[in-house]
Amino acid sequence: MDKLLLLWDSTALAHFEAGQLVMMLVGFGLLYLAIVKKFEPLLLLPIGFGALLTNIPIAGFSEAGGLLHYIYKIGIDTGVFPLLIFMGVGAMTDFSALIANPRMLLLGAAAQFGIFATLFGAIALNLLPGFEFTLKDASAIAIIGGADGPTAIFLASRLAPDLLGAIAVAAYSYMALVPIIQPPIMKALTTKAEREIKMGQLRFVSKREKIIFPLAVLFLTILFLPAATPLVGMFCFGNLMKECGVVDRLSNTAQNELINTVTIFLGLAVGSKLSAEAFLTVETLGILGLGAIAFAIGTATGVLMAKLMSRLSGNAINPLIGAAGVSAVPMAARVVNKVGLEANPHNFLLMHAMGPNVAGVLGSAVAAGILLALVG
Amino acid sequence: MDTDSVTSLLMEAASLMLIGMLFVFSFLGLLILGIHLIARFCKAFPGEVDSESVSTSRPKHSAQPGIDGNIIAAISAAVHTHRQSNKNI
Repeated sequence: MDKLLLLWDSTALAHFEAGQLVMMLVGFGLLYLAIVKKFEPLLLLPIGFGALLTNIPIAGFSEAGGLLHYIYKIGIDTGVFPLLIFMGVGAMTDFSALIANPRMLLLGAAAQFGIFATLFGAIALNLLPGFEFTLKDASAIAIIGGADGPTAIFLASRLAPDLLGAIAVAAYSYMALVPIIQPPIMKALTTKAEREIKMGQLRFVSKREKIIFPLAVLFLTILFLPAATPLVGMFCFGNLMKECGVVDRLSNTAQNELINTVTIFLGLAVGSKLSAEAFLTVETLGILGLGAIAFAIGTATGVLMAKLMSRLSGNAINPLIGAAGVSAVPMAARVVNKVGLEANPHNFLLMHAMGPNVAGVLGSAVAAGILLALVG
Repeated sequence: MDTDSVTSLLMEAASLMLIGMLFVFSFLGLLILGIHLIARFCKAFPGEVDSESVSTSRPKHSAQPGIDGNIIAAISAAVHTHRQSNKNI
């Protein structure tokens, strides 16, 4: 009988807690979204599976000695994984559209209002019972509005590691939902005539300009915002490798093998943060709500800024491209193109939207640097 | 959390919002200037011809001016029919 009890005690069935079961369901939900709905599958699949693993009773994946515990310690606690991903993203990014039309940087800047407005909203939530967000928590939540996964994970790991799971899940879920969240806001804020505006062809950008650009961005960041140099520095390094043309092997590794390897571990480590005690709280609901608001506000301010620039420039800018300022590369730019085509089937805005889109990546990295410098 | 501490946090968040947006705009505004300067520099010192512009001009070289367009059309038509007939087998 003793042996039977011992055997029973060694099964997971005897140790399952309700919270773990719910979190496993959340994990399955993420797997469903990734596999069936194809929502950011590269990240939601490892995150979902990490959530399954971390909630297995007895196995202790996320306790000291467990696999996910070490992956988290090595990769996210230190901030290394999001930075390596950022390097890969830099190696994949083409800044030509932005260099050809540098005014687009203003759209990338305007869309960052979503971040700072959400910071305000997160603190205001403290007026409700059950919410106790500090300024650090609120900053980490607000960065969801930057629509940039690695930046959100990097900032959350620095400012609010306890909220990291919820923040990462919210950030990637909303990035997948960009085609659903953005179009109604874009249409509400623009007239049909504005959506039909055709933009002039972009000028040719020389290779030399593309090589100097990442160095110039890094130089400005070193001078004015050293707190953002981990993010911006790795991003510019990746971009320089791509553009200089003499280290194609390194550039290819950064944008393929390395980023893929790191993505696997990053996803699993984020999933390991989806434990019942950390995730099943009223704060998670707040984070999910605030994330959606951050996205919506960022989209709206981007479009409004583009409208203003359109007026000032005598209708040379289609206001839709402002929505791409939230980053979420290249999804947001594709959404702009699609909404533009609905208004005018001959109007291809993709290249024009890539300018604010990559400007948004820089903008959210700068915003993260500001939050790190002022709050961290 | 009591209302007083929330109010002071809200004040702090509002100042963060103001400073943050000002900084993002001025930083990226400075970058606009930077890009214009880079463009001007590259115009003044174009250096050697870009590899990209060389690659775009390559197809022109490969199409030799001596070959008649009709001959090319005839050859491609012949290759096409040959492939089609092979497919049927």
